[in-house]
Amino acid sequence: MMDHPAAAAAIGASILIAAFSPSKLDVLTGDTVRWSNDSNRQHTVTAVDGSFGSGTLFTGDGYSHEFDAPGAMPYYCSIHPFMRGEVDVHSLLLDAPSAPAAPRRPYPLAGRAALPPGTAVTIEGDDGSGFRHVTDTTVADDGTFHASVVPASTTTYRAVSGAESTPPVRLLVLDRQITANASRHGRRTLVRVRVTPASPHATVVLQVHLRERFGWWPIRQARLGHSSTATFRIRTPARRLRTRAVLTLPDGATALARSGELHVGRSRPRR
Amino acid sequence: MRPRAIIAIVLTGAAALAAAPVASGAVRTYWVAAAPVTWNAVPNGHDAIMGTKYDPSQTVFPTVVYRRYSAHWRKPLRNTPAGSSNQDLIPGPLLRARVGDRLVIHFKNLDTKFDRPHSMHFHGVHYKPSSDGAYLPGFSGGDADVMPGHTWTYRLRAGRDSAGIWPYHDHSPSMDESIAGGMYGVMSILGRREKAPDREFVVVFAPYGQFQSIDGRAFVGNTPVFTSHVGDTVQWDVIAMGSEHHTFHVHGHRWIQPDGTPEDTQTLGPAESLKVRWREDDPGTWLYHCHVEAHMMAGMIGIYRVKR
Repeated sequence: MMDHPAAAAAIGASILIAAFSPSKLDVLTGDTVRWSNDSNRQHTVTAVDGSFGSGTLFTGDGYSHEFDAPGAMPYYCSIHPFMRGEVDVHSLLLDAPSAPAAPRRPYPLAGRAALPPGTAVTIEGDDGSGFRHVTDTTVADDGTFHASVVPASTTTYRAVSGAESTPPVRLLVLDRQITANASRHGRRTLVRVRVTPASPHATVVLQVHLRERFGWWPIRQARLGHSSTATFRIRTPARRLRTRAVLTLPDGATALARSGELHVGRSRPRR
Repeated sequence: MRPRAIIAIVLTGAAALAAAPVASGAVRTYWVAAAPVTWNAVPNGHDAIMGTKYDPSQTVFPTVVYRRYSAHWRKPLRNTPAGSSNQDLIPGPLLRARVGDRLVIHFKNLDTKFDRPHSMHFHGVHYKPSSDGAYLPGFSGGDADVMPGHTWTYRLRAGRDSAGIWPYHDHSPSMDESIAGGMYGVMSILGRREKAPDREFVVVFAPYGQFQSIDGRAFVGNTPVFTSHVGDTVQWDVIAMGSEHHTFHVHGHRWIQPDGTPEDTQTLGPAESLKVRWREDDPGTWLYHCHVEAHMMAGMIGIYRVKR
């Protein structure tokens, strides 16, 4: 347990009727892969070099193996030898981005490393002209590493530490616009938000500018519907407030696009 | 008309007295879950006093928090009582009781994101070892490492020596990372005949990521903006979590310790607590903060607004 990398994870894989899914897995040293036989046939998970083997797996059976050494580990099914798979074991891995980025706005990248805390990690990016140095970071105590990148266009990233480098991940960069408009219905105010090009399920946040919050403060968060719109229903503020809508990553914080400012709420009472 | 109006008044009075002395004590039931959330320690993105900006990559953390639920964990509720100026999620639900009460805390682990065991361990109250919630291999039972999808019911009693402010927190095998992520909360126990305050503010001093936080948030505007009116009895429930000492200080106010000495700054070590009360008569916008200066500069500061 003690020599286990802090960031080690359990990864699931499936055995289908005539294939492993996914057939190629990138894992971190110390990760455990669990295969489950989701077909109605018998199969095995057997290393080509014989270093591990599941024995016969019946429908619904599972088999787990922990990968302790970096390198490529091909395996096959000894009952159906045409079924082949490979686990590539790395000492550092970059997480695939969960959502598109916006041009020239910061975007967080994260990864896991089976390297000592404090180890230097370099992030390299390729926007079509080859990999170049982007930024530097270090491995944290929990075995993760984090960096912020500011892509201008769709970029492929990899993390490098010493002679090791991660498989590349692609960050899609989209220039999106967000518009918002408000309508007052007595005590209720509706703020309708639209994002173009269409981005169903993307996260949008409604912010108000508050003196006591020293700036823009999130008050609501929503996911866009299939039509790339969302409606926030808020109580009409007693005084006029500056409001705006922000398209963000799923974290509700990293801004990808901001709407213009709206004023919501009642006007100041006339003297 | 008239008799009905009188009944209404009597009922209102009864409701107001519901928390007042009851010979046998009440049973207070809470439903709580360990729930995965995404937490932003600096939602306004900056330290407004020093003018330092922070990127979400430094301030947003996937984490697990204590979250209050309706019965049988049907739907999440706010952790804070209605009208509170505390925010939701961190700290966990404010568990209120009175000396003589029994507390039944139904706990469920919904942490499928990190897949870690969790528990609840309560300071200041009476309970059997099966409600201790502290992991000790070979000794502790199902109270101490509630696995994802599983539940446990903690049964507690507020004794005569339980009046005051107490922390509760995760004491399972994951307690290190869970407490760092915000799995702590406050129990507020009134004496048998003690009057409840008009305003109750919960302040938890604890590190959060690279920050020193109050209730998991750093820097003015992000930390709770507490509000009261002149004439209110205000109560501050202050606890410290983590491995450092903190000093609780409020600008423009003093309070009297039980031994009669006035204070405006008081020290708390890990898991220590402080209950401070005064009758508000100082309108304005004030600062409250930890006076360990490095902590204050790292975010342990907030504002308190008193209206006329």
